[in-house]
Amino acid sequence: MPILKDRLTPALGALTLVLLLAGLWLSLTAPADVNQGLLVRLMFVHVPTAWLSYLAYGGTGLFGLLYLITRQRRYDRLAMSSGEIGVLFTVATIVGGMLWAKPTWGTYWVWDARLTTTALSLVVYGAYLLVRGLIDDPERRARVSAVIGVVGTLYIPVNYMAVEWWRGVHQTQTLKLLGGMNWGAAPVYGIALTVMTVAFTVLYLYLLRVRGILAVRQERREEREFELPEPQGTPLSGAGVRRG
Amino acid sequence: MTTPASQLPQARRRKKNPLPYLLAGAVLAGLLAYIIFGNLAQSIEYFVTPTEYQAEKASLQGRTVRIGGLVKAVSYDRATLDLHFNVTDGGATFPVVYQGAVSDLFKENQGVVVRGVFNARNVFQANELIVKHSEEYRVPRSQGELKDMLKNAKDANAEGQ
Repeated sequence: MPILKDRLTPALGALTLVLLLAGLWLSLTAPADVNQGLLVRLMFVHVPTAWLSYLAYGGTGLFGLLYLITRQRRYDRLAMSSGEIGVLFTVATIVGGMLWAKPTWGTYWVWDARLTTTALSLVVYGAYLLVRGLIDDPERRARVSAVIGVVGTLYIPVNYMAVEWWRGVHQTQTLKLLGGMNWGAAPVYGIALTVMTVAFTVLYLYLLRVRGILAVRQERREEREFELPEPQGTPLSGAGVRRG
Repeated sequence: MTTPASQLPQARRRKKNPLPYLLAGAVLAGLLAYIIFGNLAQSIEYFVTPTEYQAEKASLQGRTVRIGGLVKAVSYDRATLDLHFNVTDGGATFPVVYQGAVSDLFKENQGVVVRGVFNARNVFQANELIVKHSEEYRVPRSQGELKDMLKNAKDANAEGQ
């Protein structure tokens, strides 16, 4: 991949910026909700961050699966990048959710099924990143973490359905997808939420690309350091590496 | 390959500092333990309904429970923060007392989850009150609703000062 001639990344970045600005404008001008007033605007950040974390964890599973099938290292790099983005945005979801919960529920945190499974995802994907750091052999690291990433994808349906399966405090989905699609809020909120969700989706693609490019450079540097003492010899761990 | 072991390429590999990994591992283990032990006492269902409590009264009597239902007959003293209301699901109704500030969303017919125990007079002494809110959001439909909303916001502001 010619890094210097990359036009897609800045284009994604610019599109993210434009969409985010448009989404923010729509969010900050959305009228007050009849029950919770302006607090409803937190939804336009909280829901998209949660969506992005699902997307990112899904990406970790998908790229992990692709790695296991094709054994191409670039899929491993994308899986790792996606995992890091997922953890980052899960934390953002939790922080945004806590700020919304305090004035509405009256507390920052409750151990209901939705919130508990969200916290558990930090353990699962924290372990995913930790395991990656502990294994030196790149092929083994990619293999082991791909398995964790694929199994970890179970988190997405469990967390999504947690509000339906178990009684909790977290409200159920406003946008019902199962059993007939239904949007349970004013259309004006739907527009703002849609624009923000699209913006965060593009943001994910942008961050994934940026992190993937960083991962390539990191890998090359490590290989260079590793190969330095014996430039004429066969690199031990670099053998069979296909660069994306 | 007759080079002595000390000159093999592996020896050039940067030695990783294990401290960050140990710290990260400890944090993850701590978080997992907190999640597990923090939830041992309760089931995955966050609360029981008044009807369920009524049915399992014998086994739940005297124990700290969470009851979730709708709020009825609110009386709130803003000076002393004493709150009295009934929690109901239509099947069973229990009187609840709570002391402290409540969320602005707390009102008649709102869903709540209260945690506490029944006292000797069969009144539920709540020490934790969580207000549930609906997943439906809508803008005021009429002038009347808008005025109510503004009035409530003004009241809430006045309380905060």
